[in-house]
Amino acid sequence: MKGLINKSYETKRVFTDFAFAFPDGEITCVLGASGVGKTTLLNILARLTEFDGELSGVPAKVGYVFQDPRLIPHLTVEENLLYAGANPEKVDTVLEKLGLSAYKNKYPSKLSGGEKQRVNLARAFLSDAELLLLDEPFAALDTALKIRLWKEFALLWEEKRPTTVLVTHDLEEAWALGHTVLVLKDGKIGYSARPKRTELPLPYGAQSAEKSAFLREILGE
Amino acid sequence: MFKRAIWKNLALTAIGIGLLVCVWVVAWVAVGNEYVVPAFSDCVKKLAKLLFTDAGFWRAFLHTFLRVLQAFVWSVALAMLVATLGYVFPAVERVFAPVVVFLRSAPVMAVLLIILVWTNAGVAPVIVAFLSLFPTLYAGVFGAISAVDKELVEMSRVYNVPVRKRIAKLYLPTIAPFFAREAGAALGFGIKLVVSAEILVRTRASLGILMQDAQIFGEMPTLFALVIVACAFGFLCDCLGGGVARLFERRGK
Repeated sequence: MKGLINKSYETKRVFTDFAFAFPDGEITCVLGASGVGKTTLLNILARLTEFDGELSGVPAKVGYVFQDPRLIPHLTVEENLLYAGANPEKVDTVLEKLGLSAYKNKYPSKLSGGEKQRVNLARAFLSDAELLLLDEPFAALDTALKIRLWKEFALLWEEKRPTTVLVTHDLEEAWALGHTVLVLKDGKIGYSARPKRTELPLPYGAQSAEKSAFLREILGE
Repeated sequence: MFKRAIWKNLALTAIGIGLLVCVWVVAWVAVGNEYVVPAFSDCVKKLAKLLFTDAGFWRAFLHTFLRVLQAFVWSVALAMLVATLGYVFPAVERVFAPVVVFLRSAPVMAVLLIILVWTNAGVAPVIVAFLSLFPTLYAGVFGAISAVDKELVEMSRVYNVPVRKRIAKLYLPTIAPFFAREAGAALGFGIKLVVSAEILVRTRASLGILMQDAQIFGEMPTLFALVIVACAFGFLCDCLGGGVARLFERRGK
């Protein structure tokens, strides 16, 4: 999946001839400062935002894990999943894998932030997406829950291995989950790395000379 | 908890009605003239007589009610259609904006006189009520549709949710409480408009003409009893709308 895009809002130019190529069947993690255009990039790939330029190889079936869960308040967890086109036969399995079986018939107002985010994740996976977009899906969760969700995410991802773009502020998360890690800077790819891995996700806090070198490069040390 | 809230609301409503009756009784004692302010007890007796023994009253009530219903149904249908079109095509909303302002500010009784030239005394109250209810309902429905969470609409687009499913599962349940409240209030407002118009154009077999005849023949208890009927109808519609709205709002909580 690749593209060349230009995008500006009324008072701000976000991308000028921004060229990218995200490997198919892999997870690309995108880091960058606030306002650099990470969410805009996801919205362009999800066809939610208009832009100038071209995209190629972008799959039609998209699953989007929004930063806030965006669940319909008057529908139960199961109804929310079915609303987004989930296969009813797979709902129970995915809910079980994400530890949500007990919440199937509950309304979103009865769920905690972490549980809602897992439903958000379940919805994206149950949509049989060929392109998975994740916008800081694990932000605002405590570390223990975050690491659990990384594992749950990785297990589900391995089943179909959809092309995935994950936006995050957390280098640890990007290093743990991404096959490729990109840092956006001034509307361009400022830095990139491909962490060596044998498993997904890498254990939390896994130190490597590579990660340290990448961090030093980002920080300009 | 919910039942307690219902009882509390009922008790407060009863206190409000009791206060109105007290004001009435005080006014009756202070004025001391049965023609200006009749006794509350006389009006209650008259009301009971109308409700339980007077077929003519029920015929008039039914005709007035049907007029209100006709105006309401047409207003709802058109308000839904135009509001939906306005939501999908913003140009439609802009085109209708001055029409709605005109209908809102048009003097109802003057419009009634014009309509009476074109139609008859049976139809004119329906049209006048329609012209007054439509802008209110349109604004309510348009506001409710526009208030549907944009993020949920975006989510639906991303997941390619079919339009029919979006309407059934997202839009209708979201606007239902707003609509129920607006509809209840509109029905109550509708009877006020229809009865006023019936009085002005002397519509046959109507609550309006019964009221006017009662006033002409000095039957003040009958006139007050008929006013109570109209007020009670409006009050019931309002309560019904609010009750239905609360039922919708409870879902998901």
